[in-house]
Amino acid sequence: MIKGQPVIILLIEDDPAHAEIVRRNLKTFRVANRIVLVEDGQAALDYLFRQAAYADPETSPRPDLILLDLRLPKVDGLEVLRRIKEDADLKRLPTVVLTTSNTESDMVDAYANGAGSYLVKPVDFEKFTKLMDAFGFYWLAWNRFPDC
Amino acid sequence: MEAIGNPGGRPADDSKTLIKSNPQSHDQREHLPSLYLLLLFLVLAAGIITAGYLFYRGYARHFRGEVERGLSSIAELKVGQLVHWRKERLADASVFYRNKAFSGLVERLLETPADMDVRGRILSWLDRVQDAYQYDRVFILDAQGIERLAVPGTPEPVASHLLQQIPEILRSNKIVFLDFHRDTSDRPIHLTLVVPVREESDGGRPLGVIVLRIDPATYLYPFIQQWPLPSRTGETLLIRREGDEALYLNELRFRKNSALSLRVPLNKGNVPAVKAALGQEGIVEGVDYRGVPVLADVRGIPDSPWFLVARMDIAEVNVPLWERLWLIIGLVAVLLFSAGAGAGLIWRQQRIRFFRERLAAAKRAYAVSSRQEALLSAVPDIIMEVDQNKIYIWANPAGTEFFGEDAIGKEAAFYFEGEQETYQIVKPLFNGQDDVIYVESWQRRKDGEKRLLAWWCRVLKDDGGRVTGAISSAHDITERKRAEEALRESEERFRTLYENSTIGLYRTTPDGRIHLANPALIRMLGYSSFDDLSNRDLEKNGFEPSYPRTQFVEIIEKDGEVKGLESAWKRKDGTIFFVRESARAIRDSQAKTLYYDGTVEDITERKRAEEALRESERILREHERALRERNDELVRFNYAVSHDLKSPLVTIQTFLGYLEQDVRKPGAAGVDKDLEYIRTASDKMSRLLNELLELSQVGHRMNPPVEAPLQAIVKEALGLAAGRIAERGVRVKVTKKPILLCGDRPRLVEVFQNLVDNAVKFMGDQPVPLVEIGAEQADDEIVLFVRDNGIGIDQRHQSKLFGLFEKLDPGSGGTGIGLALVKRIVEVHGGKIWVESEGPGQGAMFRFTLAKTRRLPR
Repeated sequence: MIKGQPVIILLIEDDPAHAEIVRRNLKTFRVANRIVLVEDGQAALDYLFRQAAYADPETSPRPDLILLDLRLPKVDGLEVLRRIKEDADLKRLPTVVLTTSNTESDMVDAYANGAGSYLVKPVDFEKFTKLMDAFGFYWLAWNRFPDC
Repeated sequence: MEAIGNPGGRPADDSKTLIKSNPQSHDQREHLPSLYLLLLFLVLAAGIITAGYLFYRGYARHFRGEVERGLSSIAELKVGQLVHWRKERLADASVFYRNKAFSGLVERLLETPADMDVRGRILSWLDRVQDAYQYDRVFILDAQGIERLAVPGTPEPVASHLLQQIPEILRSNKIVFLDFHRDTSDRPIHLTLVVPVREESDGGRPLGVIVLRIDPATYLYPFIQQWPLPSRTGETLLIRREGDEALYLNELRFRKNSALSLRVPLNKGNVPAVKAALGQEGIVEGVDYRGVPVLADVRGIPDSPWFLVARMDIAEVNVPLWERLWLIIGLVAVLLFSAGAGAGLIWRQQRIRFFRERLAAAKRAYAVSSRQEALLSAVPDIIMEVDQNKIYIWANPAGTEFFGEDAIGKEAAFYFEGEQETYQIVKPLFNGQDDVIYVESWQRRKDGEKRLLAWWCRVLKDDGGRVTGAISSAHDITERKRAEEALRESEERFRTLYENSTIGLYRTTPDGRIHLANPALIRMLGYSSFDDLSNRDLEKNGFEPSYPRTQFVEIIEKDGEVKGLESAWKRKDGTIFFVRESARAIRDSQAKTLYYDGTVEDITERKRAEEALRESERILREHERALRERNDELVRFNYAVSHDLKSPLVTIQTFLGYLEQDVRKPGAAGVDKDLEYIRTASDKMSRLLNELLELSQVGHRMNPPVEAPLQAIVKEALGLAAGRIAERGVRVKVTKKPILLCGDRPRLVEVFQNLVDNAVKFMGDQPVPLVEIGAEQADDEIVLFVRDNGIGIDQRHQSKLFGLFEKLDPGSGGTGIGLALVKRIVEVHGGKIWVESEGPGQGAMFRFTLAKTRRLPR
């Protein structure tokens, strides 16, 4: 990145396999970035609101981008999205939904709740890789984030 | 009505007696007291006069006595003094009588008239006597009557009468008192004592006489004339009887030169001097020498020829009496006048009082009559008077207003309208049997209209108790009568309505008593009569078993009414029926509730229909809900399938790609890892598919329902979970209550197995892990529960708990279908399931119900 500042991505994903896929794809970009993984909705909220195990700002830095799965244990992804967008501070964080669901209602609900983008995980290696390449290229190469 | 019903009026009677009795009382009151007064005055006057007369008489007698006593005492005093005076004079004479020394001197004188010694000694004797006793002249005569010596010495001829008496005196040798006399008619009056002097030797030859001559004018006359009391006419007279005459001896007060010259013949018996001379003594009345009536005391003077008369003019005596008489007359007159004036005053007072009373009576009578007049005019009722022939003779303004001015003189029946028995009814009044009679009668008003009058008739009687007529008051009750008719009809209509209404009508009191209930309500409530019903106390025994009466009272007191309150009521026999009740609070002016008036409608039939409708609606909604739930479930199922089944597919596909790449890499680095991801994903997928199959079979492929004790089912479930329970060292406690479950037995076992598995799985690091399985009675159903003391569930996540493929803990094993399956089984068995947990660390309690669960009686 131009600034040399690593982009921090909060990945909210309960399936370890999917998390590994995201991690592997984004690793191919020679950009400095950091992926923080939380495995359920409650943990995501705790992280974002710096609660419980994530109270320390050093170990739990504020993300620049949120990558959100919808089907999550404990707190549903749409609920997490809603809570982010309700918060005056957090709502400016770009939030990209990455889910297996291509249900119309999920999509409508996601955008209604302030999702910045809605990506469906493809059941195809090539496509998934291309999607993640495009995602990485767009968000990590082209996209500009505010300094704080 | 009452005032009119008690008519004739006492006031009228009073006024009549007042007016009648007035003239009588006038005569009596006017004359009787006057006569009494006059009589009293006359008696008083007679008394006063008599008292005056008696007093005067007494006084006169007393006064006369006083005067007489005065006269007597004066006379007595004077007589005493005169006697005394005479004795003194005789005593003087006796000094010379038989005086030997003196006789010797006289003898010597006669012998030697020139002997100066003798002369001197005799003269000194004579001098002393003359001087000491104030004799007019003392002298010595010899037997021949020749004066030898005298004191005073002036020579006087010797009185002839003396000369004549000397021999006799010398012979008798006794002292002689010669009474008043004149020596000659031109000489003054003298009294003379002649003392014989005899020779003192034994022969006793008479020598001569010593003569002591007394001039009465020097002592006696003044003494006699002296009157010791102040008096104009008081006088003392000295009388001597000479033959047939009484001779006045002294000088009189009212006539000069009367001494020894005034004489009154003794036949003039009414002259006091005569009475005295005739020897009468005491008080006498008569006419004195002046011819004036006098009062006198007459008496004789002892040892003398004298009589004393002490007298006063009666005129003088009577002067005080006259004064006293006039005084008394004056007094009597004053008393009479006073008595007369007093009587007059009393009479006047009585007259005044009498007239005042008459005036007051007249005023009262006027007030009574004017009040009566006003009263009779003021009453709105008609008042008529008839005579014994029932002819109107008087009417008050209201009467005239009604019948017209010409009613007087007409017979009462003239105004009757239609056939009526009025005369028969009032008959007892006119024959004296009754005093008051009430009668209603149709009468013709002056405008010709027919009006109904209510009459109160009162008989009038004269002093003898004979009926003279009647006074009647009447009240026009036409409107009232019509109103009463109308009211009666209206009441009748309402009564019919009330009696025949199919709606129950009531009136109750706030304290729960029933005042009114119409036949419909009585029937509705299953009672035989109102009396039967009214014994019921609504406070204690209301009709509404389903809600307390206080609620009804509360609403009606707050809003003033209850509208369409629907409730179940209890009949007398205890059966329940449904009513719709509307009531209104009837309040008095102080807003205090008096009654509740209400209507009651039996809505049992409607209620039943409604109930049925509601039941079918409920069933419909139930079905709808079930359908919606099924639909939602299907949506969720689709969703879950599309998402959860797709997820492993994505993993498999992607890692297959990675695998291809990694295979070509030197040493095939990462291949194992890729294969592991692929295997896990495909395992998961296979498990998901199995569980989906199982879930879909619940409710479709069911074993026939059986009844089994809770403990048997739990035991089977615990057997299936025994490995994990033992591994975690969990203690399981199962209730001993005799509960019977009914349903698909293997499925029920599955419920308990899943719940126990779940509890053990989320036991956390609990050192004393415990799972309790039991049952509780809640309301009308039995609630079963599985409770643990594990990590508990955050309240925020409790709603997701029973969702398909929902996992609260991503790290825990399983697909998250267990609780979804439990829920499905419970619902298929007509129950519901929910979780209760105070939060993380507080343990969790899954509660659920199953239809047909029952408790065995012990």
